[in-house]
Amino acid sequence: MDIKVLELTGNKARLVFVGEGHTFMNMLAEEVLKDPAVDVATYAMEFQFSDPELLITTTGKKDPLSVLRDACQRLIGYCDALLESAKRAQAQQ
Amino acid sequence: MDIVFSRLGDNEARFVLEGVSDGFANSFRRAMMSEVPTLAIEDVRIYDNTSVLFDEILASRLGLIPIRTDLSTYRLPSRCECGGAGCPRCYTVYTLSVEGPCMVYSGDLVPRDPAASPVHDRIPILRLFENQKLVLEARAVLGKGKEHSKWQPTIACGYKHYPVITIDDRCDGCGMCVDECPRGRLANGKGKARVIPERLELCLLCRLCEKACKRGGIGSEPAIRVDEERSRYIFNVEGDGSLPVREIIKEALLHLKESTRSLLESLDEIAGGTSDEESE
Repeated sequence: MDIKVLELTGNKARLVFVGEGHTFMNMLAEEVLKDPAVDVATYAMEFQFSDPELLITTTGKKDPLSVLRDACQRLIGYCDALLESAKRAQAQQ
Repeated sequence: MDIVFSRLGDNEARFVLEGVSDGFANSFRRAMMSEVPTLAIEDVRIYDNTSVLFDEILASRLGLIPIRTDLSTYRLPSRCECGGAGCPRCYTVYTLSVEGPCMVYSGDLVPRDPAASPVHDRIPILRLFENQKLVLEARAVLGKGKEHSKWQPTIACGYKHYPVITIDDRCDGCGMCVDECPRGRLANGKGKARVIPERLELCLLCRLCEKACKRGGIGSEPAIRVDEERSRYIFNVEGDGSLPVREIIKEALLHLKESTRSLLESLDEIAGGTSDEESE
């Protein structure tokens, strides 16, 4: 995935996700927001086909990139669990 | 985190997805619709077209025909070793040669790869009259629904929250909610309305039963309440036949996983880059 870093400090990050859309960003922003160390996690697309820009600010306990990394790990975990569960359910049919 | 199928056929599935957030459920739906590749006719070489339809309209109609897709055989042109130039791994060819008077159907397309035939043989393409002729060669490639809807593997794909219906003690069994429900998910029990468990998932969350209850003069609060259960969704997925639904579900989840994994890799690169700068 192609990422442009617009701003990166200890408790704030602004990242542009080149070529991504609502499909990925919606899921990611919501998952990041579940982290108690996160203050703001939202994304914006200036125009319909612009690349989305993700804004993360944290309360200072964790840096934004590790927050993002944790969210990714959780999402991969969800996908694995669902793939496994779908496979099991289909095998039973 | 669980998927429980209540119906699973080749072309349709109904399942309950549990333990995920709104954002994930929506991303999953969007991924099924627009990120799972299927075959569709993209380029058409027309040798002879004396029919009443313009070449462009004809090509558009051909593109919309669903084609059986084997994802292990074909690759997206952008990810193919040939670099999108065109090779047997990223496209397949159909020929069509028909003389009028007759109706031209999707079954008249002769595929080079029999496994990649049109899903239905009786999709009308156009009508040829006396002395009209149609000769063409079409090339189908894999693509994604986000680019054009002809590459969408799903026809209907949506979800709703799981309904929770509570009927409190004030219910006098007047039966007005039972008559009102368009999905017949309520029945009259012993002096009180009750939910038919096997019909619960059919609930449209339309709340007509609540309104009917209030019309019965029970007061400002109805005795029957319809609520939505958070983090539990009923999905309804219908495929167009190009891919079995179980594969659509699998591919969509794999796509979400793959995107997240590639984000993780990029994050590692960024973190590596910044720590290098600090050490300098």
